[in-house]
Amino acid sequence: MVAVCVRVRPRFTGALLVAVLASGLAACGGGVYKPFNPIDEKRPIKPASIAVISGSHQDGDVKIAGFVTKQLAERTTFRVLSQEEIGKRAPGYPSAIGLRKREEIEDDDEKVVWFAPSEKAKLNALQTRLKVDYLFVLWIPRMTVVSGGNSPTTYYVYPAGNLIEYPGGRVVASTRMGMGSSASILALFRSRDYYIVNAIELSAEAIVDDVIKFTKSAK
Amino acid sequence: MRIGLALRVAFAAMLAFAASGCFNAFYVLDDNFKPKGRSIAVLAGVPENANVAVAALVTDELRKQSRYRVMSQAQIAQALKPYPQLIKGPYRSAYFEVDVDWSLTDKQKLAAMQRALGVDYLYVMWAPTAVSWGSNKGANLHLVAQLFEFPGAKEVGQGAFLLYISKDDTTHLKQGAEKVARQLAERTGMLGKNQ
Repeated sequence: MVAVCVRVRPRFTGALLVAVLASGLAACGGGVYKPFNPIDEKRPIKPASIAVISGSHQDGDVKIAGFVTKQLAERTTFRVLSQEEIGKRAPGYPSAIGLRKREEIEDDDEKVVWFAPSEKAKLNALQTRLKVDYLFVLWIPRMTVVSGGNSPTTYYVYPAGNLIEYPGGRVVASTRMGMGSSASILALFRSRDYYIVNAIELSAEAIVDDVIKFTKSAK
Repeated sequence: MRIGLALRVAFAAMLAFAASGCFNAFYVLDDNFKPKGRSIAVLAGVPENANVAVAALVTDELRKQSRYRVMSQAQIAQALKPYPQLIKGPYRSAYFEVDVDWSLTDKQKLAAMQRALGVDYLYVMWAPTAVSWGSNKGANLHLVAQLFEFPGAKEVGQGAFLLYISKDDTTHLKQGAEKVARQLAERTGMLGKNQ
């Protein structure tokens, strides 16, 4: 027996619940692997000041924002605002930046704008407080764990993100990918979240690898 | 694999609990607990719609089933700005399960909120994650909740439980909220006379 467990982001429409789920892995990432994909490859993205924004206060979102912040600061010439500094300048951070409905997003879309149009004002207000050239907002809308058979238990995360350029508030890049981390015998000695967090950290590495590639911002 | 087996056992246990109607959402920490006041507010600890909706349902049910004077969610929103807001809850992490540590709650923040609300009790509910199995159309909302008595922000009750949520049907959620409210009222000796 193979058990597939999906962590979902519950939503309500009015008072009614809308938890959008999919069965199995095929529906989770749509097969797209684009850790950092410029919307217009001819339009340069220059290393400048940047704040990586957690799309909500859910643990996955907060973790990936933290990991990408750390990696950008260590490996690139972007001037990266720390998560603490973002919290100081924007009280209430992180607050939820609403995602578009799943049915509005094509399975093979490699340049997704993830946030709902109504959320743009929230992002602009955040940028006003942070005064950075780029906001990089990240979510993990879905995580799965697949267990059973002869394969090791594997945790998958499916990060989503958008880089927004200021002034103007134009979306200049998109993130859509999946990443897994499989438990080994060492799981006995590791924390219960080890492999989920590991998958998130690997995702952050892949995102920053591609940021460096497209922006030529390696230190 | 150890984890695979654990997941299957957990799933089977969950189904068994659901089938048997066994649901334990709240217990008091001291068996001799006697309420010192009657006013209570139910707070959502995570500012997301699912959490807020559950808090609202439990508020309504407590009004119906208990002798508590229950503050409405609208009154809470008037007294606390902003509401809902994130309150550090009793857990280390929340991915596929909630890693509970009852000592981690931000009691200072709760004390400040209680001063604004002026109630004797705060029942705070956190719903930090929702998990679905296979092709199931619904999901289990994972909740942890604590009851605090004021003054002093003394924790007097707690519980960790799941509520089933579904896209098309809120019946399970309402039934779950009904049970949570009933247990809270019953186990704190405040069940309504008609219950």
